Amino acid sequence: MRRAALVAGVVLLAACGGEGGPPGGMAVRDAWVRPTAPGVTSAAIYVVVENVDAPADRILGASADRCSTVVPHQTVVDENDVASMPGVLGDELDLPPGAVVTMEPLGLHLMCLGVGEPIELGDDMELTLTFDVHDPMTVPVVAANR
Amino acid sequence: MDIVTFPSQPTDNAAEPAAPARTHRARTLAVVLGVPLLVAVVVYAGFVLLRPHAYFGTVMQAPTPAPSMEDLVGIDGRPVDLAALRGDVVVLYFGYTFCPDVCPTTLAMAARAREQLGGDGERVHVMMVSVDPARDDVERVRDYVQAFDPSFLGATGELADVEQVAATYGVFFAEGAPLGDGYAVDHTATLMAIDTDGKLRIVWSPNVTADALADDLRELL
Repeated sequence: MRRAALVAGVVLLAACGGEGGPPGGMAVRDAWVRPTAPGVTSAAIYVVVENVDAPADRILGASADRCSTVVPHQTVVDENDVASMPGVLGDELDLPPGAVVTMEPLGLHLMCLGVGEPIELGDDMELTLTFDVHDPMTVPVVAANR
Repeated sequence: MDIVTFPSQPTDNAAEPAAPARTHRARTLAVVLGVPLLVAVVVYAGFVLLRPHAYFGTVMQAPTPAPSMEDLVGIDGRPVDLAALRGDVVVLYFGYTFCPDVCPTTLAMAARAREQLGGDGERVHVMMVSVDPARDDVERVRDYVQAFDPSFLGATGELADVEQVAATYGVFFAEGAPLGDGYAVDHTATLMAIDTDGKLRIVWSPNVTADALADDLRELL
């Protein structure tokens, strides 16, 4: 039902010729990546995305220099403290107006795969997020140990 | 030199007899309120200072000796000898090097906690046992754990031995969802403390903060 409404909204927007939301309507902030140990080829990127006042939207995907692929991912820790990574299960990446998607350790994150040279503390990289509606957005990512 | 005294005003004279009574009342009031307050503060401080440390982690009611890990290989290439660490605290974690979120988050947090302990941190040994021995050889585990803290220890081994050790520590693990070209490993993501007597004492959930872990470890040392 919700997805149908979203699809309808997207179709409507597309029909209106709307390409990308109004400037400032979508905010991407606090992007950081954990440094990688030698030989490790994946890293988790954390970021906060807020739909301030843009039309209903959804994070579709991401890319970053230093990563061959970036996929939205999710860690789930159950009541027995067993951690698993079932990926994105449902509407976690949906951004209705006013919504905030918080990617943080032990939860939603962007998996950076195919890291070549190890990512070291203080390194900078760039993350580009793509949306259903909004134009892609690129933000700096700092390598930190939080 | 003469001291000049101002002529006293009759109105002041009239007020004078009341002043000592007011002072007396104020003193009585101070004693009546102040003494119990002081006693309350002292008693409260006593309770705060003397009460047992409230652990963030779950404390074992009847701690038992930490099961042996001698069938596993440490990052020094030798069998893991927990008895050699007796007198210090061992913080155990079962994880794997291809783990992108929960393991690095937990190990980085443990490194911060150890740092908070200053010199006492030297008596805390953080050890990651690989639950992915098919991919994690000794060198790989060593490079991985030491990236978080050069003092960190690690262990791996034959799958059957790792399974046996994990089982004795109540740790579950199994191959999980695909991850990149490989796979994730679902695993119990707790931290466990072996106390100075070699007993399994405390279990922490992965959401423990560095501050809380450091407080608990300080108490264990």
